[in-house]
Amino acid sequence: MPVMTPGDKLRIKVGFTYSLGDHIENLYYLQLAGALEASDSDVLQDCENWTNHMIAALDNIMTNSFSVNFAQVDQVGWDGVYNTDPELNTAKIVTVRNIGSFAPAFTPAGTSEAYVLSAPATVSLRTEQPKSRGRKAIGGFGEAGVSGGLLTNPVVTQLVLFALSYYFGPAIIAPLHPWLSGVISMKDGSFLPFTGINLISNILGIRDSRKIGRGS
Amino acid sequence: MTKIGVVILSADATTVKGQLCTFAGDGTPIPLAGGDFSEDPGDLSGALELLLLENFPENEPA
Repeated sequence: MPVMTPGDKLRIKVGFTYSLGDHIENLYYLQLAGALEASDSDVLQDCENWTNHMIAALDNIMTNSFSVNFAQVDQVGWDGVYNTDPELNTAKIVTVRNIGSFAPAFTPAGTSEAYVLSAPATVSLRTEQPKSRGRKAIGGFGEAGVSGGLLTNPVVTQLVLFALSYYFGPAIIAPLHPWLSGVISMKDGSFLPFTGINLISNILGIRDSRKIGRGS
Repeated sequence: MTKIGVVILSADATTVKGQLCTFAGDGTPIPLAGGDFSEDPGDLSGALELLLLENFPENEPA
């Protein structure tokens, strides 16, 4: 039976679908800590519990026009040679194998229309490596959560809860195995756990790829 | 509406410490006097909502 060994890394791909057909994906990276191997069934259970805990913070701010249909878990590695010249850079995160998938529990309660998808709420978590951050663009929150071009207080509160779960969730949910939440360095493939002081603001971000006609 | 931020200074399974801030013209966070909080993660939602309401009532939903 396949297992993950300490130090192995995985990616959770969570897909949100909007009733008008748009699709948003958020990627999360974890590294198995501790000294014990983890079976695939244990890994999937921890990933499902953590994902549910994390996106539960979004239930009250996302419009009910959104749903989460799937979450896919893959063990990932790193390949290629890093180069500061984008044309020479071949470094990339590669899928080693698929571990499995699950259907997250997600029941968004917002009843207002969805705000512009290309202007998402954003959460950015630091690592010890400058410019290597975990950035999440939260699309699909309701128009009622925006006033004067800024996010209202209730949305900020929920974003803080989401960020804390993203940062510490694997520890909060009492998992079967210890995990670190973070990102993978595109320079050398090392895992960079989140650390330090983090800021969540009510200022909207920009995600060009979600502009209608340009991408998903 | 005011541009605001919530700085998470530290967090573990028992305590989340943070501070509200506003922003200078160049985007530098300015800590808000009286905007400190230290809460159990389970109590954070209610405490933070109250702190934001007290300090930034103009940012509440219409």
